[in-house]
Amino acid sequence: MLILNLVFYVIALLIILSSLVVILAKNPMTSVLAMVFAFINTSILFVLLKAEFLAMVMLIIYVGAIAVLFIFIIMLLNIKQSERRKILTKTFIGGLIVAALVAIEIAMIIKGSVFTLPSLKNMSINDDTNNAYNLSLILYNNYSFIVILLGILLTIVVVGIVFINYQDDLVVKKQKMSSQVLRDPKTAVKIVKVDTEEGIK
Amino acid sequence: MAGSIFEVSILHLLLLALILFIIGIIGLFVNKKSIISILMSVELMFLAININFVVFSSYLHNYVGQIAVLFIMAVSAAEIAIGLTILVIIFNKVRNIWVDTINE
Repeated sequence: MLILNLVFYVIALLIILSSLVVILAKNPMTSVLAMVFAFINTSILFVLLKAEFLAMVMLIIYVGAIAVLFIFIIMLLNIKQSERRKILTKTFIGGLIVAALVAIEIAMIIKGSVFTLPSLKNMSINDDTNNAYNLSLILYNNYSFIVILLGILLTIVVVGIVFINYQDDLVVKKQKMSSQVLRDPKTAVKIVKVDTEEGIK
Repeated sequence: MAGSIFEVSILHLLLLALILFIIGIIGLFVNKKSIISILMSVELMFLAININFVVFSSYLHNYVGQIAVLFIMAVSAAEIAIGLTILVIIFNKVRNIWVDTINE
């Protein structure tokens, strides 16, 4: 148990360090790869917190889809941050003040709250079965509306993306198979006798 | 797998989520000129919220937090997809990623 505590502190330190690299790196590729590293470490943290199904789902969705999208965009559009950024500007100090205020507010909420929740009868953690089983029991029985809503949301997103990228003046070269097949060899080719060094008139 | 094998106090985990959230906010202010870095800072904030939900779900023996995490993951994926599509379309017009040129 002492070793697991130490593992948690190491993982937490790695998450914080990689997220610092995300915001401070000059090369956008470096920050994306550091973000992937932060996601993987968070996934390990979820496994430590006994949410192993969520850890795998996070690897699939965040690393497998979102980070890959970022890498595609950076590589295909060839995005370079060649301009030298000034970090210590006026708005950065304002940002520090905002961040400090948010931190103080959240810390006050954490300090003043009581950490108990009336354990809902069907939704408590059952240690005999695994996380995926319990989660599916609750998700599809009590929260089935969320599943339907997510389906509608993702459908709208896909339709929206296709609609955004639609261009109706796109020139597309197509083949018309019926006219290709119905070619008559007598009228398709014309044989011309050509004199040397004169060409076709 | 009965019993708890993990004995860190909940305050340290919430502190981790808080630090990650603050790093995301600071990243918004440091990188306010390039859209990709803004999107990545927003992703960091989502990550902090996910850690928060899972920590509470584990320490209060309740599964509502994990369902919230699933919902947030799906919504975050959809939002990133649309954001990057809009970025590609803008990039095809102005050929760079600075926020100032998009304002014109």
